[in-house]
Amino acid sequence: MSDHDPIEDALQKLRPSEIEPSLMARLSAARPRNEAPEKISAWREVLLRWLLPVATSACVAVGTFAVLERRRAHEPRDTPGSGGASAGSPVPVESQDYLVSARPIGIVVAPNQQPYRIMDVEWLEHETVRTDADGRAHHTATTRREVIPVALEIY
Amino acid sequence: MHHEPSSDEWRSWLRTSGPRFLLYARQQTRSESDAEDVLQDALVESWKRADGMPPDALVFATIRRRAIDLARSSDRRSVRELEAGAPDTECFLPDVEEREMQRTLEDAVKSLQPIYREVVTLKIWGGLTFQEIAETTGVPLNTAASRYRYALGGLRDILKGVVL
Repeated sequence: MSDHDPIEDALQKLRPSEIEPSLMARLSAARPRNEAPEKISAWREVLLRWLLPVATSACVAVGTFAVLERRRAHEPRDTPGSGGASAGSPVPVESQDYLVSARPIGIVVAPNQQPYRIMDVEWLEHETVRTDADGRAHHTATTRREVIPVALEIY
Repeated sequence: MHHEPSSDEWRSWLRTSGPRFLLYARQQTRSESDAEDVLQDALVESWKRADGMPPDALVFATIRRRAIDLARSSDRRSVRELEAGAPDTECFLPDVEEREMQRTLEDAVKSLQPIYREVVTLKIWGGLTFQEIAETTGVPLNTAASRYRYALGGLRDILKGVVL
């Protein structure tokens, strides 16, 4: 094809219309942008990385301590010189735990970036004990409350 | 993570190349709003795919594909039928001195069948090579070149005595 074809020369004199201002504004606003990760402020980072894990650990420790204390309080106390359980002391024969409620408290992120959901869990403990004295079974029911971290799956 | 154009870079690209892309988008769609939608989506997609300022051929090919997708999603009529109904918009800058000549040329281009008008548009205003036109339109290289020659022949007949 000749470089000086009069038809081509005439066509090339036509210049496509400019983009209207309204469309230009719309296209300008559509500029591709990287979806940057959410910027975490310094105090928020300290809160997520350190304060919440520490607070969670403290809650778990207190909860565990309270449970252990309560259990110890219910344990039969040995009398001095008895050398073990007394003859009439109850012997646990069956124990079952029932989950009563599980309430999410929040989510924390450990320093290794593993997220945990903190759960407030309440259990009902059914215990059946039998004493040697009368051989009858006695049922007890106690509630137990725990604050536990549950690891969340990350992909 | 792709190369993000600065505001100036993006606007400069829109100013220099946008009119040519818009002209092609108008020819590939049935309404001005469709042309604008297709153009916007194609510009953004092309930039992301090229991870930077895309070559013109990629943008034209993306406009074409998106226009076909839009036509197919709009209704079940054939794409070619839809392409024939290009929006009736002022596609070229008015030239006061040669207004009559310009209108005659524009009408002549519009009178071409879509497959010929497309090749003329991509060659004259798109600045693509025949190889790029072939890849953009999905036809062999020889077909693209022969369509262009055929289109020019048709325009020559229409414009005999006006341009020549």
